[in-house]
Amino acid sequence: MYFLISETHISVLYLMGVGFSVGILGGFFGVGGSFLAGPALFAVGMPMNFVVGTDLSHIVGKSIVAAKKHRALGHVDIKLASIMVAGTIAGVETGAQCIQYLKRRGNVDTVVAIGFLAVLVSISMFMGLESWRTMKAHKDLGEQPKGDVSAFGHVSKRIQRFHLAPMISLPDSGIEQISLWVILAVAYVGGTFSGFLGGGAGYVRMPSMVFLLGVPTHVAVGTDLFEIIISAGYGTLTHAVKGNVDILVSLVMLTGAAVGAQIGATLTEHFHGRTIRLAFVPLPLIGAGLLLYSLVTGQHF
Amino acid sequence: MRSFSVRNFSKRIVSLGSFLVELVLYAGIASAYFFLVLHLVGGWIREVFDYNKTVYAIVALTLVTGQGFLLELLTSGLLWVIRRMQAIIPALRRLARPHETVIRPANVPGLLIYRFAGPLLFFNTAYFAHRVQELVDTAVPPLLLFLINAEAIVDMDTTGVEVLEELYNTLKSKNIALGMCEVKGNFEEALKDTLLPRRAGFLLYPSVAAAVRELTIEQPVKDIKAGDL
Repeated sequence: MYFLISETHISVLYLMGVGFSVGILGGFFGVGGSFLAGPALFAVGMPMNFVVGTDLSHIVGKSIVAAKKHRALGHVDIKLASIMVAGTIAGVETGAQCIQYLKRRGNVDTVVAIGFLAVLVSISMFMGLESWRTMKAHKDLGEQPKGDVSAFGHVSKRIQRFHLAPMISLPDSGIEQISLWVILAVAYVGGTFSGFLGGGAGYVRMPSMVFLLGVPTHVAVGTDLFEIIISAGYGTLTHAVKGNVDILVSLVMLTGAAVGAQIGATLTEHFHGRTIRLAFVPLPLIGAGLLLYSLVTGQHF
Repeated sequence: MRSFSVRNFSKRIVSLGSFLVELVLYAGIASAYFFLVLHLVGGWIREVFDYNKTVYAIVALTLVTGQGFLLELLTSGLLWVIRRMQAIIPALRRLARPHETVIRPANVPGLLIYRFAGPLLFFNTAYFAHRVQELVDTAVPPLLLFLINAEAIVDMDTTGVEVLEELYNTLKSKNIALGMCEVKGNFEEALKDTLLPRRAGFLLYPSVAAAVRELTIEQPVKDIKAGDL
């Protein structure tokens, strides 16, 4: 099918397949799936500025589907999500401005792709380290832990003890007290990635919510998706105004993502938090591999 | 949250079957959607894109949000229907082919007691009639009394009434009496509204035991003939 806005030829089945795959991952991990969708769109010849905006817009629709499912499962902390929206929007705007600056300089593709690669590899390495340490700790203890325990749990405990008024409680996430500014800072960083690299930046925000804020993995997944609806919605608006969104591509992707997101969200009911985090490890690397291949060979596949 | 085990995993695979059925239905709907909506609005969206980016941004967000809600409703609705169908179809299948028990008491030759464990409704009356005919035709020694144990027949519709009337006539033509026991509830009410209880030779017993006792004591069943009872 020829898409008039981005002026690219892309197979509808390919887009639906990509949407379905990232839908499952998004519903299961609470991420937008841009680490796969971004490289997948770039790989078929879509210009990188369109990749960023289009990916972000399809994430809005997909997150609506997945978040509604997670809400039904009780995995959404509305209070936390509402606070994070403010920080994320500010971050998205910062990121989008950076993209505009790079577009004027004419080297947007290379910078965004290299930035993307660095973030994807770092996240994967960190999640791998965390999983290895968590499993090692469980092995040393010789028993299965009760609840969602992480080897980096001490980090979030220390952050929660950081007193900077106003302090708030998040009962749905099991957090007695945490500074509002910490939540906003985490959201802002995630938002900046979102605006700069595209997608909902769930690959940054979901691990941040678990390891920095101390939110249980399942709640982090659902809350992140809920928050992504608003932040990615804002990102879609800003990118569309700047002409970076091919809405027809994202509508086609969404038809696949809607089913995948429901499957992914349902699957979270059957796995422990540590299993979800462990399964997360190779995903950003797949996206990094695809992106690297396109960058090095210059071939679109 | 359930712990991981092979048994749980197989259950998950079965539940994923619902998603696969949904996927097939959904694929058809999505294909129609591409041709009817995206193909038609593509040119118009391009015009909006060229005309004003702010308007385009609003249209884009509206479209993607609207489609998100619509697809959520559609996929949830499809899944709801599929799961209900998966529950209803086996139940209907069980009702259409209910469990049955056939007893031939040794002390009352010529008697066959048939227990049909389901309501007599339009979707199983043909099966009921077929089974009765089969039992009558294959009975050795030949039957003199066909007794329906109706303890599990909780209801009956007009097709059930018709089948019972036909059954009475068929059996009568073969000199076989028709009887019933354990008749109660809605089935009893429906039966009272028919002519069957007043037909010559139609027998009603409170229970299987009462029927066997009466038939054993009062007269040898081998002498029973339709119309005499």
